[in-house]
Amino acid sequence: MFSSLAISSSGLYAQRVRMDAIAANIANADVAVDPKSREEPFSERLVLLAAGGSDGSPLGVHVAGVESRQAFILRNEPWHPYADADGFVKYADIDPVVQQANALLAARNYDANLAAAQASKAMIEAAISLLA
Amino acid sequence: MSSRLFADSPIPALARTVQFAAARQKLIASNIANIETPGFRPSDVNPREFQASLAESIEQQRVAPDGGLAFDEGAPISFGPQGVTLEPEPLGDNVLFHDGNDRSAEHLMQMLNENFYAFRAATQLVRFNFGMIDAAIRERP
Repeated sequence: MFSSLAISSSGLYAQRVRMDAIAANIANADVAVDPKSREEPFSERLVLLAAGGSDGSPLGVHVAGVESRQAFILRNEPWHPYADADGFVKYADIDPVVQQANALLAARNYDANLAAAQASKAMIEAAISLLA
Repeated sequence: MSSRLFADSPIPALARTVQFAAARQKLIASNIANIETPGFRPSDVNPREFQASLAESIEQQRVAPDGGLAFDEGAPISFGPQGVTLEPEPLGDNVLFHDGNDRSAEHLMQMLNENFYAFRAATQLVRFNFGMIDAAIRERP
């Protein structure tokens, strides 16, 4: 019975990781890529979910990985210090509208897993009330 | 549960219902956790099949190794030394979305609530029946 709580909490954790990635995407939507920096530029983070618990159990969900989409767009901003010879600046291809829709989905999914966890808790309480 | 004290009461049948609902809760929780997992197909054990198997086992009154009611091999549930094992089948009650998942969120929440209330009703009935036996033993109402 307690493992049903663990399954729901795996769903809660997976959606929270997803929400963290979405928040990072929205925050970095307007970060221009520095052509002289040796660091890898920020691109849209995608959270990959897969069925099964993180410990290999068959039920539940886990985060299989977080990937960078490596998709960039060019904006014509010749006044920008990072502009190239043609006056284009590279930005990560992040659409805030898509990120907002994903955030709504993640929030609703979180609510659904919360409802499942509360149902499991109530069942555990009902079972314990048999003993005492 | 093999005690003759409970043999004539509904407690063995209720105990199997509680075990079934507890095992099904894990399945439903996993379906909800994977609502947006690409390629995942929600699965479930039909509670009507369980009820039919339970009715059959009540008629036959065979005792399983764990002391409770024995179920036929065709039942979607089995009781072994490691506990309860379900044999779920894909639900397939919605269109297949672009991510390869065919969940219906409303149906999953309905399953969650129905299973919860079935568990709650069975545990309360078990408690009530234990109370009746206890009152009979104490010879006090």
